[in-house]
Amino acid sequence: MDNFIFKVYYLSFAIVLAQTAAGGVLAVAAKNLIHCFLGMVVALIGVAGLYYHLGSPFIALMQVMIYVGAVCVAIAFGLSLTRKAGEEGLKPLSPIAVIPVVLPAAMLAATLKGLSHLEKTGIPRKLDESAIGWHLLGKYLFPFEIISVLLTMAVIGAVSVALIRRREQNGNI
Amino acid sequence: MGIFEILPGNIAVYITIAHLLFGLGLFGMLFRKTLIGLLISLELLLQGVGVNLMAFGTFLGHDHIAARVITLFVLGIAAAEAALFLGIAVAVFRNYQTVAMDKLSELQG
Repeated sequence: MDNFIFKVYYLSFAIVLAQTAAGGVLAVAAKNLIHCFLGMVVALIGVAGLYYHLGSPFIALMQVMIYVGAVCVAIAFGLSLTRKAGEEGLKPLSPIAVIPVVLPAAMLAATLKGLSHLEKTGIPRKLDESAIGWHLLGKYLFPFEIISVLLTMAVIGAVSVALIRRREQNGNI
Repeated sequence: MGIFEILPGNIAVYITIAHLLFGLGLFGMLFRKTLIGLLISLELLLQGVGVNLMAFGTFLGHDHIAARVITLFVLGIAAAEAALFLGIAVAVFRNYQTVAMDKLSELQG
């Protein structure tokens, strides 16, 4: 029985990894923006699974609620409000495409080399996550308040920017 | 099962997938044509950052709660940024009738 449970656990992790990678590739490479959006949702749910496997169901839940619940709905609305035929797809590839390949590869190689002498395996252990609330109201109170102010300002700013009247047509575009 | 058994408890796996997301996001930011595509790529990039923070905090950090709190902050800031970005995209579309980045060249001088 235990063996079966571990098999399910290993398989679920492999599925989460594949889902994240496939969703990310779809989100970036698809021609149609709706497919990009779908790929992003798949990748975000996969990242929530990664958080869960890292021993943090709370952050996984927050990821699903904030991203899949709120940000994705907002992006879906933005997508439908700003859609225009003939403006989809990718720019033609240019030599600058070397940057997103080489830079993360170099960072990854440097990180893995730096980690090579450390003990780096072991199942992440679950811990009492109610401590997060106490930390937010104690040690991290100031950043917590700053972020709440930032969120309020961002929402007010977004609403006021989006409500700017269409400016007068004065010849240039 | 072989290969599957070494995957879950290994920090290298998490770091690799985080860098993959980061690279994909960077690629999308350079090559998508519209502002919304840019935003989707930016979200992927920030997810890579979040996974990296959580992986390091969980496997190597002494204070496991700190990693979770900081990841939560990253999630919150990314949400604020997405809201503001969408507001700007909608305003740009209403003023210029396009969100293609090549056509938004008025500020280039």
